[in-house]
Amino acid sequence: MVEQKEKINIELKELVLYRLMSSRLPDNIEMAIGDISGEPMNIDKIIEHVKQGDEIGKIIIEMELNYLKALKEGVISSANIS
Amino acid sequence: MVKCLITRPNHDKVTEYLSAWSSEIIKSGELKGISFLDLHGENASKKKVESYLFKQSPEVVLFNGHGSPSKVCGFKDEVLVENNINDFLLKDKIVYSLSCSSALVLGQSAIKKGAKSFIGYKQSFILCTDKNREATPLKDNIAYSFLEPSNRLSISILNGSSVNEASYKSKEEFKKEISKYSSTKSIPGADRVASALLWNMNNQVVLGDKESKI
Repeated sequence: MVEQKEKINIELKELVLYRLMSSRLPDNIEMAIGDISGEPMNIDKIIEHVKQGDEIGKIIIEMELNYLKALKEGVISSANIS
Repeated sequence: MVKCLITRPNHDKVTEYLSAWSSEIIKSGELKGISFLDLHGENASKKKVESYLFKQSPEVVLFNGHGSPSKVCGFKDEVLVENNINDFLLKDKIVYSLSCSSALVLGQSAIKKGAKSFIGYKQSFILCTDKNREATPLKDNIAYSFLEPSNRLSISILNGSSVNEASYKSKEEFKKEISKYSSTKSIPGADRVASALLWNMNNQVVLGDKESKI
């Protein structure tokens, strides 16, 4: 059970990384997560945090999964599905 | 005259943005009969906040700055109001806290201590910005999408809407912005911006009396 959960978590992380890398934000657009991230981060920094799976990375993964769930449920629609 | 205390520290990039965008509330032509007690920059200190809350008794309090589940911060992240320390000062007030996670503990505690309503965020508030617009935050169209829905909430409260209506209007603005980014192909990775907006929208909560108004 634990092994299966870990496998799902790894797969979800890979899915988020794929989305971040395949549809890259331009370098001028940065993201700040309150004061956890310190200075606003560019896409490379965001990807780094997701790879490390630290506090920021976990927030990004949760944020992306919530978005995919909203798309699936039809709460929002997208022209950018990758 | 309705009194509104607003804190606007500006010691790093994020607080510079919050400070600049919340100045639009003070300048808003939509508002009449509001007296702002504006604690800007280093004036956003614990000493001044406590003194204003105690002596001036503002009906509305707008916090802008960093925070955590149990506190909201001011200039150089000095703690302004903290759970079980001085949150009793929010008694009888309508509070909107644009700071990370403060609805989680501080908001709940403030309501128990008699605050009318506390609107805030259950988790971190995410802000996307355009690096090329850092010197002129009010011209940053990306930041607009994040901070205009927040300003809508403050302005609605000060215009006499109930806190629930104000949050509804704010979320409608968020939805408009989400749809803008989720339906465009002109900005690569625009989905990232949309997902951050959705995150903020879903984490905005109204605690206490949802029908309270000024």
